[in-house]
Amino acid sequence: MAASAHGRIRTRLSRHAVMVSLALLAMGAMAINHRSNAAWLMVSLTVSAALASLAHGRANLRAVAFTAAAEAPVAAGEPVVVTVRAHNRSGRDSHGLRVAPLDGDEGLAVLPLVTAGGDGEASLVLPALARGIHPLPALEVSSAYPLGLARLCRELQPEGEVVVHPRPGGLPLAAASDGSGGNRERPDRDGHEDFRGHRRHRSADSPRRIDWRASERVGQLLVKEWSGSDGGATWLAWEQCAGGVEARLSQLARWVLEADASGAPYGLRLPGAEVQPATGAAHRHACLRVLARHPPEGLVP
Amino acid sequence: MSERLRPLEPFPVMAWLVAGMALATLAVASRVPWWMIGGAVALGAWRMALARRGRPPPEPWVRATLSVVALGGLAAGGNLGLGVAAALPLFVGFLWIKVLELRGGRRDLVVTSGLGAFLVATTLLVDQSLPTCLLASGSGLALAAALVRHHVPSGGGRRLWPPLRLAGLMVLQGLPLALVMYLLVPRPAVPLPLPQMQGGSPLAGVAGVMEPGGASRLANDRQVAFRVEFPGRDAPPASEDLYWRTGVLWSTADGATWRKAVAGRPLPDIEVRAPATAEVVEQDITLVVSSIPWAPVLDCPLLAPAGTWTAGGATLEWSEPPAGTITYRGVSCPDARPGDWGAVANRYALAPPTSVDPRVTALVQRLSAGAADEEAVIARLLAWYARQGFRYSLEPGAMGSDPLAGFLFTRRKGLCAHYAGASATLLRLCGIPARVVVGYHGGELNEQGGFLVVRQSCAHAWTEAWVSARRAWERIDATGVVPPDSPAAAAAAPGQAGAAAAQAQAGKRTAFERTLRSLRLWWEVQEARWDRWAMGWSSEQRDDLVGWFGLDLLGSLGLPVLLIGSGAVAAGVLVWSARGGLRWRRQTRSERALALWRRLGESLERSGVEPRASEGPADFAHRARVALPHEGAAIDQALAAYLRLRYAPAARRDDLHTLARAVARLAAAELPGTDFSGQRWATPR
Repeated sequence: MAASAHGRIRTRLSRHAVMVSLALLAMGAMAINHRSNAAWLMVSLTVSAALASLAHGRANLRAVAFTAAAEAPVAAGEPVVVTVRAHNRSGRDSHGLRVAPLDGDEGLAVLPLVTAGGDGEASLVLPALARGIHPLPALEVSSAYPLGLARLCRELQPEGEVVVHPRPGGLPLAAASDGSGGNRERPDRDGHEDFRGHRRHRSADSPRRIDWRASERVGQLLVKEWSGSDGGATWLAWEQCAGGVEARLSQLARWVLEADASGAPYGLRLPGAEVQPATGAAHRHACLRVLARHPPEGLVP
Repeated sequence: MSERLRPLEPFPVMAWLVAGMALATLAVASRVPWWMIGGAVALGAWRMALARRGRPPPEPWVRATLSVVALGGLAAGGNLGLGVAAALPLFVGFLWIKVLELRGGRRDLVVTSGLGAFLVATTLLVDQSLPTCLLASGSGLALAAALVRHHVPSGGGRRLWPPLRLAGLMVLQGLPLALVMYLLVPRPAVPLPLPQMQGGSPLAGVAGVMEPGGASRLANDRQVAFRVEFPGRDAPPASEDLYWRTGVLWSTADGATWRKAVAGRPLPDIEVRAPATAEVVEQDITLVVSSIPWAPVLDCPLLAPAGTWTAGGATLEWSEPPAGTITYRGVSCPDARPGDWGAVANRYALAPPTSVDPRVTALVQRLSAGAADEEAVIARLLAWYARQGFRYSLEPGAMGSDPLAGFLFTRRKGLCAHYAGASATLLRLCGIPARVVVGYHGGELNEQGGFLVVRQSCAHAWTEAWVSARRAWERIDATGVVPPDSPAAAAAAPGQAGAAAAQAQAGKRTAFERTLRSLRLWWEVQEARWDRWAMGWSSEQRDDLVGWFGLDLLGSLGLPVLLIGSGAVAAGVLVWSARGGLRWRRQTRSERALALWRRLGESLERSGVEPRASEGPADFAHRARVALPHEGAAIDQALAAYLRLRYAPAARRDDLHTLARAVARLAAAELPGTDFSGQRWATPR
């Protein structure tokens, strides 16, 4: 997901630069007409200091390397959050860096200060996208430092993607379990299961499954296991849903989110795709990714 | 407290902006009414106080009222009109009202600082002396600092100075390019077709008019008109010889106001009569006041310097007004008298005023009755002034409806201009060709720089009368024979009285005053250098530079080649020097310790102990001690100091110093195990 640090830097003169240039032209003309060496010297100094300010602006922008990533899948119709991380590789502080999508006016993140050798982070909120897997949009990093005469811009093409899963909809998971919904291969896990023992906590485990009391005794996190825990996963399947492709995907998205929230393992089965039961954020992302990738109505999966 | 609409500028931005405005106003202070300066101070203080408390600017009606008051004040003082002189006070007034209303945001700030810079540039059009240029550059830096500070949204710490440092750095980095632009870019000699603003202060004889009322304004003007060095002489000529000839006025309507205009005059018949043994004085004159058609020179000039021609009345006129400050070589003979136009003097120098008061006619009859020659009439006239109790006065008051009669019979005191005009008129009425000469008299010697400073307050006027026996124009300075009416007038008076007053003053100086005086003289030397060498740059000198580089062989291509070549070099210097940038924060001790420790790692790496990312400082130091046993003490010291600086709650005062010394020692030490090729030897164990 690293973006190239060495983009070409473009110089966009601001309206103020145009104004200042006109004023300098007027001052230069007055200096010539009044034969004033001092006024001409001042115009010369101002012009060259303005050019020096552009060089400072370039260095300000070059000092920082950026990466960008959309960390969690988002639902269709919700704003996309891209996390922009900056690392200053140089010995100088970088000021007033602005990150915005290259095209389109919406979305703006500002990193007021990235200290020499330090890091910075900002969230860029972009307009909502349709369901699917999208490449991260091209971004533009810019700053008007130090005099605001020009905005120096560098293009940023982050590698990575935005996963936009279907908007959750339809019936809740509980209702589905009771009726036509989630298909459990074992009866409800409502306390009648057989406790089989503890195992060490894995990062994918839901915090709900942690046995805090036992963990405290042993000094490390332990997770409760029930007999048939792996076989007892909920399967969220295409056939359990009703309606068109998008309606079914919406339903599945809702179930995935709810199942994930419950902490129990769940699996996902779609025509042409299957995710084995598991728990945790990575699993949720994988499931939502499958839903996002599913071809729309009319296309053979 | 009204609602905030936009973010207010933080205090440092406002502080720099107000400082920039204050310096710009200070540069122009002498050209702005005093109450406006007071108003500017009040508005600046008010705005700063509001900014300090984070309060918004006052309501619009306050600004509107202030604008009306400022306009009214300027109108009442007669300060409204066209031209630079009239525009400056108006500009200053509105600028400060703009500062007061400044709320925040980039646009407001850019507009305000841009207007400030414009005020500075306008000031430089009319005054390019060293103090003004220093104030102007200070103002420009402060305004740039305000802009820089605005573009550091994090605040860059609470310190006030980093923005100024960056602004100064940018100017320094741009300096080579600025010098190329200043020294080499050709500037057209003809004015661009733009609406012209009249600039400068009215100078004696500049417009070819001598009005006695105008001269009294000049008497208090301490502005330097020109400076003179005398090459090949240790001291300037005697005070009674220091008459600087500028212009000659030929026509008058009322006998008091004199004009240059002469219709249908012949080509000057250049003729100067000097005794055979007369001494020739060379002068290097640096003319500071610009837009003056004449080149002042010691009376009486023998040669016309380059760029001038000798006009009627033995005055030097510019073929083309000089660009900025100019230095020229005058060659004069104080004992010589001009003889130009002597053959036709009757035609041009006898025209009487249009109406003459009967008392004047009676006086003329008394002066001329039975006089043997012109010199006898002149002697009677001077004696009459002395006998009638005439006084030299800096403030003679109004002369009435007939200024000539009013001066001669009522007031009986006046400035040089009154005496010069009246004497020339009386001599003409007596049938003696006479004319008025305007120029300067005297000057203040700067012993440190060895030059004479002639100020506007030295402006002078005298009379010349044609003495047919000698076939020359003789100088008549009536102010030399009438006593002054006040100590101020005595100091300003030309001739014996003035010299005596200056002498008396010099004798009374205390040690403190002498120190002050020597400081002032030193400063004047710096001003003279600035005017002569920095502001005196001209297109001729630029062409000389082309020749110095040997590029004159390229003909008209020489300048472009030099311009492009040095421009490229200067741009390269700029880009190269701007890469480094500037730290806004002072490095903490911990950061400096880290940098030193890294340097230690680099130097140890050269002797084969390269730091590993996986190990901490203690492990690394341990390996280093094993590899370099006889540097163990230095390594231990460095480690202990480094650990305290980085991790201990309170480091010792000299830890940084200890660390730096140990690092330097390890970097400089000839480390065992390293030969010149960098190959590692077998370390003896």
